[in-house]
Amino acid sequence: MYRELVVGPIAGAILLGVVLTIAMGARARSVRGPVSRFPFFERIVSLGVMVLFLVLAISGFSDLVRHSEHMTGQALMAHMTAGGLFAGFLVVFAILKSHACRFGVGVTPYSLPYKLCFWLFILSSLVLIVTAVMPMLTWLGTNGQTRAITVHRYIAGGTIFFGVLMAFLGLLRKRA
Amino acid sequence: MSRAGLYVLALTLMLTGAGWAQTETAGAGDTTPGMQADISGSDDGSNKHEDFPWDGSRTTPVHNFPMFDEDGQQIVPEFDLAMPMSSRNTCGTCHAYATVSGGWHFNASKGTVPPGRPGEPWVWIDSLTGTQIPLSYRGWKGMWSPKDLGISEWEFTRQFGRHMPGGDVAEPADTTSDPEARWDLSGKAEVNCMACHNGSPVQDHSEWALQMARENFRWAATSAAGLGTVNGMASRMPDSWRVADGPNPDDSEFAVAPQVDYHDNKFDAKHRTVFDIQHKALDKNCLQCHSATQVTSHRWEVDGDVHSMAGIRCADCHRNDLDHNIIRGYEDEAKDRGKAVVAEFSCRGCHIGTDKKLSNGRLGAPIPKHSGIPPVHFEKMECTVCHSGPMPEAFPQRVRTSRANRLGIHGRAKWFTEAPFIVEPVFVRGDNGRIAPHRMMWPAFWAKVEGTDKEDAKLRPLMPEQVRKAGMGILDGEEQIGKVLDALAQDLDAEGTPTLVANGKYLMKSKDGGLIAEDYKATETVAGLTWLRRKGEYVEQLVPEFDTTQVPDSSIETRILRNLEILEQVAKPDPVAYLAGQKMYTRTFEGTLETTDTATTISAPQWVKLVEGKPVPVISEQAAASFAETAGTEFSITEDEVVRMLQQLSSLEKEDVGKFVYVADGRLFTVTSDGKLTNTDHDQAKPVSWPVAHDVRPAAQSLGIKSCAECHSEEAAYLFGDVKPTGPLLTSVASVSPMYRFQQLDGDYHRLFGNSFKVRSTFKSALIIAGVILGMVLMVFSLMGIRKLTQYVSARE
Repeated sequence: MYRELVVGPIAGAILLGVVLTIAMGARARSVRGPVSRFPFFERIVSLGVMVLFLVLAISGFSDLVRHSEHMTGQALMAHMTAGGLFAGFLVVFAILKSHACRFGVGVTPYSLPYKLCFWLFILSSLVLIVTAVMPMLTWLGTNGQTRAITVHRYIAGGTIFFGVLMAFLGLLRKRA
Repeated sequence: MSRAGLYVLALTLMLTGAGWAQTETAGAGDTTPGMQADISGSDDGSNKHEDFPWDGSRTTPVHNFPMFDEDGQQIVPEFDLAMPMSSRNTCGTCHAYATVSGGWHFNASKGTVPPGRPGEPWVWIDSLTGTQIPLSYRGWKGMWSPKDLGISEWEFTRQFGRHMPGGDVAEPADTTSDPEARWDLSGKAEVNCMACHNGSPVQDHSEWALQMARENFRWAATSAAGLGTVNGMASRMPDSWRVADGPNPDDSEFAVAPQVDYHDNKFDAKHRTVFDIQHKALDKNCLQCHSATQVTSHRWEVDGDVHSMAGIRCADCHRNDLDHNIIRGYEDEAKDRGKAVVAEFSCRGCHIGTDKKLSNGRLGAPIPKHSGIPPVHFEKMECTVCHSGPMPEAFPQRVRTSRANRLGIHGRAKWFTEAPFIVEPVFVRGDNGRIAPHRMMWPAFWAKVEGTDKEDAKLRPLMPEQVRKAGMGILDGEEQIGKVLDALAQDLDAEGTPTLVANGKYLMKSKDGGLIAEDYKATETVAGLTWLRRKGEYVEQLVPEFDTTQVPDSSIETRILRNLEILEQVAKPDPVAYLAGQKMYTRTFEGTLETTDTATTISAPQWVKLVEGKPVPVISEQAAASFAETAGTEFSITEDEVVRMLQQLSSLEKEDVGKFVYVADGRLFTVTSDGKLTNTDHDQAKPVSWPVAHDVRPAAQSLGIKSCAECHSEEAAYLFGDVKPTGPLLTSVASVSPMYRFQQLDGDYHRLFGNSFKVRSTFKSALIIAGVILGMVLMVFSLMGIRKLTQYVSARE
């Protein structure tokens, strides 16, 4: 039962993604003919990244409130589950956005600060994934793991910064 | 010459000899300054070890010196009335006795040091009354203070002196306030330096225990060190006897005064002897009191501690200075004692190190890699969880320890006991918030409820002696059966071993005087209590079957008369009778057989006593049946006995039946007014536990070395093992608790968390794949950027 509880959200999210992709693709084709982008799907992915990012931030920093050196219990479970989903969503998000965020004068609708934030967000998230996976493997000893977790914490702070800034710049662009 | 004159002469000779010997010793090249200066053993510690700090030599000096008795007189071993050695005055000549006797082993009752992490309690056990009370002077949680229970220093020493190193309560300052105490006869048990520091193979803990049991307290150290033979028992001497009285001229068999006969060949002409002193105590001496082994293990199977196997001795880590405040080695000890250096001798201190200058701890102990183990484990758990004690199983296992179960005392009698019932490992969260493997026991005692408020009711345990008195006829089944079997064994004309068949068991006397139980194998059904004689597998009645309608023949008559005569001794002052068929056979005053008719037919022959003319069994049938029920098992008391005892106690004390309770197996048992046994929770019935530190297992055999699932799964004994209370009560009532409750953890969460490990490898793979894709995206656009850069540079050219 518990296994299903863990596997369920991951499988559900993937399934939802697939269904939405197909549905949006069909809708896009029927209304506007063949297009290269999937705005609704992008929105879903962006929303997923944001929500999961929020869960990760709250659960990740809950240990500060609890004055505990390490994350344990429900917060850890939430962080791990959201972390796995976030990695998946982030991959899709990066694939969808990266080309539009490539550097170059006038090639994309995004501003340079937005692009910078995007690439720094992706880079720091990659470091987060690496520093999360490394301690789970049997490569690092206690000191190595402690360092990895410390890096994970500091980089998480940076990721939040770039993520919030990117969202803010995105909103500004829309209003403009 | 009168006896008094002889003693005066002997005393004069002794004093002269002692003075001469002292002069000789002092002049014979004793180089220790102060050796001559003070042999009185004064407690101020002046002119002792502190005045002569360590000179830097790493050798232990040869300890060849004379011995002194408790009065500070040098011992002349050849002298018949020589006194036993006093460590206060012998060892105390050079080493400040007052400082030493303030050490951890000798300061429990003094309250001079912080109690620190809980340690093993002393357990007051009494199988007959089903009592096992954990005691400690240190105020550890769940343990009773002997003072609160009215246990005097004398009684404590008598009870536990067998495994005490002397000093503390065994050497009280005030010997007169307790009227029951016999310190004047026994002497005090001074700190027994030899118990730990004697490297001689003749140092004999069993001898120490024997002398302490005989109340020969002042003689115990001398005898245990093998310096002489001690005969006599202070416990048998009349209250008026004093050591100065010397041998008992009126009795050379029973009340023999204790006296030491020194082994003359151990002493030189100057009455000096060589002590094989080990600066660091030998492991074999530590283990006399600090052994612990699972009940099911065999000696050859026990690996021992990995450190010991590597050649590290107990005292290499458990160090001390002259103050003998031995390092216990637990994690927070440095904080408790306010002494930073102590931290270096914990697991962490040695294997990780506390000094930033050094890369690791003492002697460069290997730094553990702990690859793949999240550091949170080291915040929440002690090192011992994975590395010490036996591996957890579905149920914690029974264990015997030296002090609780009287191990390591060898002699004709069997000293070790099954009680108290201690189990390990139980993983418990300690007061410092970290989880550690513990040994656990459940207190069992009879108690009076104090206070009227049910919520606030406090229990005051009854001491076994009081319960024994109240339990006559209820708890003394073994004694009653034993008396009859002993009496029947006096009949030398009859063949076979006297045996009682009760509750489907044969009960017979063992060689050491106790009762042994074997399953009843005969095909013939036996009802109630049946006395038999047993020859191997063959059994026969005390009187062969005969036609009760006829006058018994002479051989039958003789057997009946002989058995009636024997049983009369047990049943005094009541007469006894043999009931068979419709007849009752009794023995007349002249010794002839008298036959009378009974109103009913007896289905099976019975031996009875006649109380006010009514036949009742020779011994209490209920008591015998209860004993038979528990005989041959680890239990010593039944629920039926609990009911009758609680009723008996309230009736004797003229109190309400609910005023008395029995605590066992983590429950509080009470009897309702209609005689039913009920049980409830109670704070004072909760188990008592103390952390396990040894035996340490190497990394390759640590818990979790195979996989995380050793702890993180629904099957993991570490979290989901069942902790079943143990104790002397034979009962089906037992509050089994899963291990996680003692760790104050949420079982549902840990089931969920444990199950998450089933998808852990998939999860890791997914994360890795995600990381690789993200990396590739970054790489692609980085390469594109580089391409742009090269194009830009080329365009400028």
